Amino acid sequence: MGLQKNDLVGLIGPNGAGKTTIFNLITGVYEPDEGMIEFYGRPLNRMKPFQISKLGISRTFQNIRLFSNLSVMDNVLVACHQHTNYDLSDSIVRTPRFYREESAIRKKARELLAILGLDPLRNEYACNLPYGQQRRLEITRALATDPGLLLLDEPAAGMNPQETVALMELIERIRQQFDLTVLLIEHDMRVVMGICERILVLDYGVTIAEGAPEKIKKDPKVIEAYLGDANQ
Amino acid sequence: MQQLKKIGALLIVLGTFVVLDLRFSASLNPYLMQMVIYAGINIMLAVSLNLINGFTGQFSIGHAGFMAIGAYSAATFTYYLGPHLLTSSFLPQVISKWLIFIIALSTGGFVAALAGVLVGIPSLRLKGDYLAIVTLGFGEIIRVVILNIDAVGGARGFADIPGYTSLFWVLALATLTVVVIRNLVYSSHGRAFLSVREDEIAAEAMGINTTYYKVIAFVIGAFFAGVAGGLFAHYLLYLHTNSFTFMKSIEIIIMVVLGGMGSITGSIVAAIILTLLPEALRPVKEYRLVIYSGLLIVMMLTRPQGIFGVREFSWKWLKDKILRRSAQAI
Repeated sequence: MGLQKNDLVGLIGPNGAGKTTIFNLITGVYEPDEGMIEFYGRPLNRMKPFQISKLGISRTFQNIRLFSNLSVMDNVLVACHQHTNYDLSDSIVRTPRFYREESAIRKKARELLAILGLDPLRNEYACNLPYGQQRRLEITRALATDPGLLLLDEPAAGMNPQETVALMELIERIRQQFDLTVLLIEHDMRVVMGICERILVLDYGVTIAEGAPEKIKKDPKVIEAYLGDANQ
Repeated sequence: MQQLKKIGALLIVLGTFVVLDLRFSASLNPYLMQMVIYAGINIMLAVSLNLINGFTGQFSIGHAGFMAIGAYSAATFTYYLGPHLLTSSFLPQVISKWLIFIIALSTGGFVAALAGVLVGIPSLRLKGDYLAIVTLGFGEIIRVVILNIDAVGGARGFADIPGYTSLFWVLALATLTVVVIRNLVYSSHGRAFLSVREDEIAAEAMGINTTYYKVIAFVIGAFFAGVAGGLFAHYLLYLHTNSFTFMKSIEIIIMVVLGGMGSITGSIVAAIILTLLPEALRPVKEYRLVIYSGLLIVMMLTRPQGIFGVREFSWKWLKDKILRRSAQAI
C-alpha cells in the first residue's frame, strides 16, 4: 500500500478486515511482524507512537478518545506540546521563555479552533460537547500536531446527513489549507465516493481492489465482499 | 524587570516567614506549634502525592517509602557528616547549620527521587491495581531494608538527630512545594501529565512521551516527599520505621482523595483538616477514631470527588459566588 503527497485516499472493507489495524501499525501502536512501513523514506517499524507523531503523522480514533475532563482548549494544547520549546525548569521558575511560548501556542490553538468552528466552545469540558463537536475536536486536535499525513478513522460515524456533508467539506478544506495527505477509513459510502480520489478495499487483511471510486463501485469482488448490490 | 519583581516578592515572602518564626517559635504553645509543623509536612506529602495520583493518574500507594528514604538520608547526613562539617567550617555556626540542613534536605530529596525512578519504571507497563501492588511492595521493601540497617538504628530506631526543623523551614518548604508543583501543573508539561491520566493512547498519538512523564511524576513526587521526610526527622529528633508503614501511605492518600485528586488547593486544605481533626476530636476520647473514620465515610458517600474536586480555589470563583448570592437576595 502506498500514498503520494496530498492524496485523499479511502480505506474500506467489512468490519474486522484490518483497517484500524493498519492505522495502528502506521502510528506505532502495533509493531509489524513482517514488512516495512516507511514515511518519506524513513522506516517507522520500531518507533514509538509519540516519535511517529513528531515525524508528522496524526490520527483520529474510531471510538472517540478525547481528554474528557480537560477543556476543548486544553485538548488542543496537549497536541501542541511537541512544538512547545520550554522545559520543566522554565515552567517551574516561570521564565520569560515560558510566557512567550505559552502565548504562542495558545494563539495557534485558538486560530485552529476558529478554523474548525470550535472557538466559542473552547472552555467547555470535552465530555460535555455534543457528539458531532467531539468528532470535530478530535480532528482539530490531530491537526494541532502539524501533521503531513492525517489518518481519519470513521470520522462520519454516527453523523446525520447534514453533519456528514459538513464533514466532507471540512476534510476537503483542511486538506487544501494544511497541505495534507489524508487516509480515511469510512463505512459511509457518500463520504467515500464523494471525496476520495482513490479507494483501497480490504478484506480479511488483504487488499482485494484498488483504484478510482467509479472502478471500485463496479468491481465484482468488492460488491460481493462489501458493497452489496451495485444498484443500491 | 519581571525577574526583579519576582525576586523581590520571593524575599518578602521569605522575610515574612523569618519574622513569623522569630515571633512564634519560642512563644507559641508547643502543642499548637507541633500542629502547624505537622500540617506543613502533610501539605508537602499530599501535594506531592497528588502530582502522581491525581494529575498523572498513576495509582501509587507507597508514598511513605519515599518519605522514609528522605528522612533517613537527611538524618544520616546531619548525624554522621554534620559534626565534622560544623567543626571544620570557617563560617559562623548559624550559617553552617543552615547550610548543613539545606544539603541534608536536598540529599534526602534526591535519594528519594532516585527511588522514584526505580518505582516509576515498573509503572510504565502496569496499570491500576497492578501498579498499586508494586508501589505497595516498594514501600514495604524500603521500610524493611531500612529496618535492617544498623547504622541508622535498625529496630532500635535512629536517635539524637539534631533539631534543625523550625517554623521557618516548614513554611518555606511547604510553600516551595506548592509553588513548584502548581507551576508545573499549569504549564504544557502539566497538560502532558493530565493527558497521561485521561487517555494514554491518545496522548502518545498526539506526541506525548508518556513514559517520560510517568517517571518524572514519580521522581518529582518522591523528591518532595523525601524533603518532607527530612523535615520530619529533624523535628521528631528520632526515627523509627514504624512511622513509615503502609498506614502512613494510606493517611496521605486519604488527604489527597478528601481534598480532591487533581486539586492542589484541595490537598492543602485536606492536609490541614486531617492534621487538626484527630487532635480536635481528643475530647471524645475513645470514640475519636470511630468518628474520624465515620466522617471520612460520610464524605465519600456525599461528595466522592473530594472537597475541591478537580478545581482550585480562585478569587474569581469566590467573587462570582458572592455576587450571585447578593443577586438572589434582591
